Amino acid sequence: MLKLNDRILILDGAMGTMLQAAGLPLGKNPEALNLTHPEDVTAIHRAYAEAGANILYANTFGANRRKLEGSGLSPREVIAAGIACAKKAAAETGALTAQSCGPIGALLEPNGAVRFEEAYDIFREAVTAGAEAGADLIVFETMTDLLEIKAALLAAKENTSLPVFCSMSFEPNGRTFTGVSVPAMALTLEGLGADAVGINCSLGPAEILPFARELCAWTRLPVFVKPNAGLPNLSSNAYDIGPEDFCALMEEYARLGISCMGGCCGTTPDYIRLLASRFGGQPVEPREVPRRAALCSASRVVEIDGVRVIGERINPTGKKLFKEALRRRDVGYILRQGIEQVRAGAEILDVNVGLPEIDEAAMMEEVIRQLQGVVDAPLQLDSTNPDVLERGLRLCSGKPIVNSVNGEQAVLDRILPLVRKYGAAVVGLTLDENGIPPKAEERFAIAERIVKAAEEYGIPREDVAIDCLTLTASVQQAEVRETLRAMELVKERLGVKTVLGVSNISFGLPEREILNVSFLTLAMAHGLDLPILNPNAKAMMDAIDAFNVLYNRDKGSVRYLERHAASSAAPAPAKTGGLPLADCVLSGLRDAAGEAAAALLAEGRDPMELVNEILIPALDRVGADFESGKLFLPQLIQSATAAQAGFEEIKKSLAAQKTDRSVSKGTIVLATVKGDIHDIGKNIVKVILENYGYDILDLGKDVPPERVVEAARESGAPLVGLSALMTTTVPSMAETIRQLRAGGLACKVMVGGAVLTPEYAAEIGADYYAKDAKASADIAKEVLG
Amino acid sequence: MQTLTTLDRSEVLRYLGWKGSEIPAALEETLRRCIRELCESARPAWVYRRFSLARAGGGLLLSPSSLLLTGNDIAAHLSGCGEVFLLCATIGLGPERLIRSRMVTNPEESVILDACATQAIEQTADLAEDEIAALCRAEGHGLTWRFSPGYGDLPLAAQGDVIRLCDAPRRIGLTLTDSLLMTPGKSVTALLGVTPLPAADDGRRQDKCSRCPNQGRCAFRRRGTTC
Repeated sequence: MLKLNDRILILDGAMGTMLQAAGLPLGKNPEALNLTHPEDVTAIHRAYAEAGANILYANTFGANRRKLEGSGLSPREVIAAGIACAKKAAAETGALTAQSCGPIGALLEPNGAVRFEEAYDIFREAVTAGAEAGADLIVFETMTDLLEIKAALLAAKENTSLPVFCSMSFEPNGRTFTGVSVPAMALTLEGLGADAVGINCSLGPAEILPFARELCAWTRLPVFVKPNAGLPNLSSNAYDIGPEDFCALMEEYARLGISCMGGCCGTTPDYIRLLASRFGGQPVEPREVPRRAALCSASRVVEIDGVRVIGERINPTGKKLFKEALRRRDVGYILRQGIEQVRAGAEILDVNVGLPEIDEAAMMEEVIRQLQGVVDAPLQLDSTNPDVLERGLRLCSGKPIVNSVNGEQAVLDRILPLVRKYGAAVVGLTLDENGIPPKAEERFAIAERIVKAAEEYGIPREDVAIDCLTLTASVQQAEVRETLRAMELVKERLGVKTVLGVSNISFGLPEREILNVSFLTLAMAHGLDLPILNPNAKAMMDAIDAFNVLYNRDKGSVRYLERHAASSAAPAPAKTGGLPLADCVLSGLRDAAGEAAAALLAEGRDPMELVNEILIPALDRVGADFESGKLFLPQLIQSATAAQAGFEEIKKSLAAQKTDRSVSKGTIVLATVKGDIHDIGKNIVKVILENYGYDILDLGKDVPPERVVEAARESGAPLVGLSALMTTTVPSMAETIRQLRAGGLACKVMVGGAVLTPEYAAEIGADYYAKDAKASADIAKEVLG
Repeated sequence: MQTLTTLDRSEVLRYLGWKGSEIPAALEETLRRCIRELCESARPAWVYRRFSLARAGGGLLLSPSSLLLTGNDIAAHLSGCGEVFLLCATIGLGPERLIRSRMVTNPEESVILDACATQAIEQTADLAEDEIAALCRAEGHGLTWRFSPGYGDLPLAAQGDVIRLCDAPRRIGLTLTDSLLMTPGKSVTALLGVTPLPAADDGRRQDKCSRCPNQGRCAFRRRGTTC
């Protein structure tokens, strides 16, 4: 019924401006006109159908639960009426009817407060109604958030059988408002099973052209465009390109090989008539799209066309502090590992949060939600549990890679369907139920099986990366070369990318880095694309820089010079070493404070003595200076983070002693209340309190009262801190306090936020009003000691 | 596309609660870098729309629309104005990502960046206002200062109407949460009246508070800062 790669199909033009021109009362919900003025809406559709449009977009763009709230109308009735209007006109010319579906109108996390699941549900409701009403296809359009359109596409795919067109809007810099690039959109939506991808709105045909060209180069899917009638004039609100010029500008699009074209804001049946007579039914130009191995986040595409480092640090294996962070649900610790690795040069981040005693799936979701809010590296989801993988895959904004499958048929059958459904890439380990075969040829045979199975599931081989498995030189010395040989075979004969965890090679031997660096270099020479390693190990990253020069990949040594020319010329960083710990804290010198604390501990000083006799008194002095205006906020925080570096050393030392002694002075629960997403004040308080030695259970922002009560109860925290920035969210602070009291919890409650006053804090039942972060530390001291 | 090349350092320091103490050289350098980083991450954008004003039904009716502005303060602000501009401005989501990410690794920089972002939206709104003022000047008119929903007795809920009437979600990516928080957070909505005569001065920065109908009730002022 819908043939997209055959002849150019003509889409319709603007609806909103036409409704306005017809003198209809637009109001808050123009979609309500489907019910109140169906003849007028149908007349507009008819005008487009008669002009030659092959696909009519129903007047359902904003017909979703959130936008219709307060109108007294349900999405279902508005959508049914809208589809009916379009179908009536379509029937007269044989055109198809599309359900148009715009953004929900509020931003998803982390930019806004809408959760992925809520967005999914809003779209599910809308597309189900559209399908019931007889839409021929669904168009998601004017989207700017990759995660939102992913929720929409999944909702359509999982609840209807209709073809789905996905279109996003780009600004002049080639990004959407949330930072999505054209290639990231193409990779993600093609992987998720969109039937066509496109660009609409925001700009005119001249401005969209380069983006359409890029889109055509990054996807094999049919491409469609609906530009505005040029750019709007802010004063007159009129668009600046007429039908003839518009049509002339579309010539180049036809040459690119796009499948459908129409118009967005400002276009009328006159535009569509010209498009139809010029391009309608013309054969779609065939496109040459190169096969690419690439991963992406919403804002960053990593093409695997050379050595790309996968950071391995987000993984609890063998890391006491990481395990501790997972148990305490300290996502901040994990985020820090992510950001540091990206700074050190990791281009992809492995995420493994498996620990037997925690809810791994929930943790995977939480880490992905937050991690993609602070780093733009694509993610590698690392788990053996399909449920964990699927819940992680749903929330990934972009195209991730799954770690991993192996040659065992049951594993392939369990994991590959997920990889296919969510459009991910996948790591295949060359082992099976019989273990790791010793010989290269045997490992190659497993790799071949994996690639074949992937292709049978519809996963192209460029999305498969084979891991020939590093064995430990101290145990299986003879097989080290087999790994390298196997990799060479896989690369040459299967033409797939290769991945390898590198540092396992040196286990059990001294000066491990010597072996790690040499093995990495050998592996790259044998065709390794994706080393999994710790990017904070400078020698490893240097080896990659050197390899890229020696193998003529870093042309003109540009990148090498960029990274290494400065270090030979620059003077050594100023030495701060040797400064007493207290001075480091007073001056806010983080690294120096860590070193000073480590030196004192090495001398055999008692950890608790360091805390009570040096760190806390130094922080107290900083606090006093802050209150008197001698220091201001950034300095207070600098000192706190310097003290934190000292605490970290002490924690490490206590962990190594395997004692039960702890520097913790007790737990405090912190949350920014429901409805409020401004959490900077809460975050500052967290930094300060942590550095006074309190354990902080940070519930984040937009936290429902029930969650605060639950956390206070579970943790037994004697103090709960709540923040709210806006007058509109203070009532939810009052409600949270009410529920804490009603729950019979004995904890004290402190509150803070720009619009609060001591009087108001008392009125809503808080025990303390914290006017700033320093005051919160004073309160904590009073309550917890 | 608009860009910000620098930010008023003294304003950034004011948002940080600086009271004139000596700033160490390293912190001074951090401040300079944060200003630069923030400017690079910001995508200043604005959209405005002009309406006629009619006194009706206990408020001011904006036409063509069904928006009725209520309250004494907005009435006073727009007294003598036959037209009003609705303005929406934002610096985009880039700064928020930067602030969020830096909070994890370098919280002191995060608070500096946050103060920079507050100043950046202020400067962005100034640029937008300048553009509208120039338009009015060309017609021989003046412009009132920026009056935002939530000031005085104009309900904060009016923000939703301003955003919708300006088509701000589509035009500049500005939306509201269910609890009426703007996203991106560093955004401004405002109403500016077209006055019959050119404004005599351009002193909007100096005495922002003295003209605010919320003075005396302002939580920011009570804490020694301003919004």
